Amino acid sequence: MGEVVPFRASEASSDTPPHVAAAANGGRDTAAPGGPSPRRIRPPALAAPSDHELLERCRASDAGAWDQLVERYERLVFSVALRNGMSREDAADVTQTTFVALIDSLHRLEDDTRLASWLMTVARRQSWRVRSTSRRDVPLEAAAEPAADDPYELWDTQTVVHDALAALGGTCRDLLLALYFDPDEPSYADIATRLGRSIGGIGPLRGRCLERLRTIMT
Amino acid sequence: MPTSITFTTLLDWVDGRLEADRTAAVAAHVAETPEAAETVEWIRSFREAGTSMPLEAPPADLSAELRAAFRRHTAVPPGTGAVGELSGDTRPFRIAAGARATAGEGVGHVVLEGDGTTLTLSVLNRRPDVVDLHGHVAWTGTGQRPEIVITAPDPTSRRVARPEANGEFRLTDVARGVDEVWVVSPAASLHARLDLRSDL
Repeated sequence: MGEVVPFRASEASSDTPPHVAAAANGGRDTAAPGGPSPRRIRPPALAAPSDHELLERCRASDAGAWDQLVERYERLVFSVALRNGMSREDAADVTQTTFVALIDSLHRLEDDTRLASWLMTVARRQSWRVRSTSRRDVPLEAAAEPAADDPYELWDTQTVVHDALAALGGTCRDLLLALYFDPDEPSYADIATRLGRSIGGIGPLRGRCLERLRTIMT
Repeated sequence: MPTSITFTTLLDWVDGRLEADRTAAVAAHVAETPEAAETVEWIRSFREAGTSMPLEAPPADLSAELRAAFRRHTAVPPGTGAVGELSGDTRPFRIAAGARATAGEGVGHVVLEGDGTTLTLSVLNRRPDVVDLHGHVAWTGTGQRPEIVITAPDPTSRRVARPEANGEFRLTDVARGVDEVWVVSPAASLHARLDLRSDL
């Protein structure tokens, strides 16, 4: 592409060194003084902690950090279970088992930066286990034709995307999830309110965030 | 790529947000420029990842339970309610059939009971420093499924398992240094000493 993509400090996750974010922003605050949009919905939030930071705090028994991890990933784990053929009740059960497995594995995770795909993989395997157990409980004569074991062709892409979104972090991650992964398909106005941005900034911001995501993935 | 055709412009085009008078020009550019076509392909692939698995919100009570689970399992002792003791015939015995024991390797079983709960542990002695635990927990009542917590003086050796609906659970690479087992539910916990250093 060869074009320079401006990057603002408020879009950075805590993975971005402060001097890099400040340099990218020209040392300015996120609101241009005297700019056309004086409306400030809320002050810039502190940078969201990375998965690695939250996991380290969980290892030190910080329940608040755990709550943030749950907030960040409960939808993803629940959705993986749903996508693998679980009812909502079974998906809730799989989600619970997956997060207990994370508690069990806190001190044994090989790569904190791939937490998203780790959770997705555990949830998918647990869904398979629940499905196979259910089949065993069904009398043979009543059993329907089994579904394909892995109906999900985009699995590899999904795991890479969600690991990359975690690396992206911050407002960018929240924005892309809201725009492209939220089943309620919120409007730009809703997203702007949620993120504390101006509506007019959402479109350009999504372009910058998605281009950064592509850089991370390639 | 002309400077006017930015990544955001291509994204607007894919998203159908581009003004009508620019749509044809961008389409022509994408058709003629492999780099732009590759970018568009990537954008479409990303969009497909979202539409093929939208992120559904779990039930609110599940969110609360996920948060509570961490507090139960990181507490010392585990759980938040009353504590009872598991007991019973704790004499270890070798499996009757189906497994062969060799020097330093074998399978042992422990059965513990208390307060309407029966915990069966099969200990697989795989390596000098760690064992695998295969277990089953049966409990009375219709309350929430209990979980199994194995604790040790070294907090990094602490383990937790959530049994399947049929009560089975499995923990691999459990440190031999663990010395307690807990059956933990939101209301109450059951406890027993555990010795994995001896060859059960």
